[in-house]
Amino acid sequence: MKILTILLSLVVFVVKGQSNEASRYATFKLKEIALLNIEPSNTSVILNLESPKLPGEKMTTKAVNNTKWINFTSSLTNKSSSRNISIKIEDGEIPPGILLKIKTDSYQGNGKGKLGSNSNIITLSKKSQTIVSDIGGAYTGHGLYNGYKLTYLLDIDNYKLLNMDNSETLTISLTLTDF
Amino acid sequence: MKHLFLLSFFLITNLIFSQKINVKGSWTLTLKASDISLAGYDYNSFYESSNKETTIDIKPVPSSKYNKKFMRFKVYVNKEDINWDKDLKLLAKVSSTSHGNSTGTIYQEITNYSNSFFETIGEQKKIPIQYRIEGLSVTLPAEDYSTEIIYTVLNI
Repeated sequence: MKILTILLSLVVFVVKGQSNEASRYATFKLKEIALLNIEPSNTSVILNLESPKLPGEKMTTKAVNNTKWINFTSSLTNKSSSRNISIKIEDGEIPPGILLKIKTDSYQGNGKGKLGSNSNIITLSKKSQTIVSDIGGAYTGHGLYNGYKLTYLLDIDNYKLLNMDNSETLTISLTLTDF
Repeated sequence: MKHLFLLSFFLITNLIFSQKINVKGSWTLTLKASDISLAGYDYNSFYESSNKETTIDIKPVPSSKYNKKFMRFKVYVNKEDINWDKDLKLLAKVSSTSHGNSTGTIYQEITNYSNSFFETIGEQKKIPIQYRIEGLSVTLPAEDYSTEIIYTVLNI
């Protein structure tokens, strides 16, 4: 019995004396991100009103590069609310008698995540308006045909106010904001 | 009585010819907006640590000349998650072949179950370990993901 006690004590001693296990940590810190881009980025949208070919017909719109794609990357904490994309006229005045509208198509592309949902056609003004809402952690994919397609449209509101010699340059801004 | 004696003897024999492991170096990676190349893209599909982010020392016990040269060891690895996501995949490899090892030099996933990582022989200092993380995405909530990497050494 005495021998057994000594042996067991030795076992305890040896177990305590050795360390055959050790650990370290791997930590990955993901920060909040809000990145927005318009594609193609190097072209201006040009919208022209053209006179009708025959008396009594409606005026027609001739558009050049009137479509753009919104690309974004969004990363949010669990505590954050979702994000929106809003649009407004930053600078310039719309010629009298004309409405500048924007149509936002539903999302398409190679992205993933909570990509949000598009609004209907809106009339642009100097007041910020939401065109994509409820964006969470997501990325749209980059370049054309990825994200939300925007189409700029001209609509005649009042023929009496039209001045066919008028030309205006507008600056439109898009913002990815926390809701 | 006889059985208890034999059991104790067996345990002592195994434990006396034992080993000690010492591990240094944790990996911390911070990802922010500047890590996204262009709006619309996600993070890269994987990130790698430096090739000696962690170093492992293995010491035979007792530390005799013979053991220091010829005792064979097997190192196991597993992780215990602190805050983790099922889409994350952490891998590790030994980034050297000059530490008595011919195994462990290809990335293998670290799981929550202990898996054989590499074998080596004799006393070894600063065995370099490199990590790789896959699955980091902006679609995951922006927070800290952390896991404890546990190395266990046994003599074979």
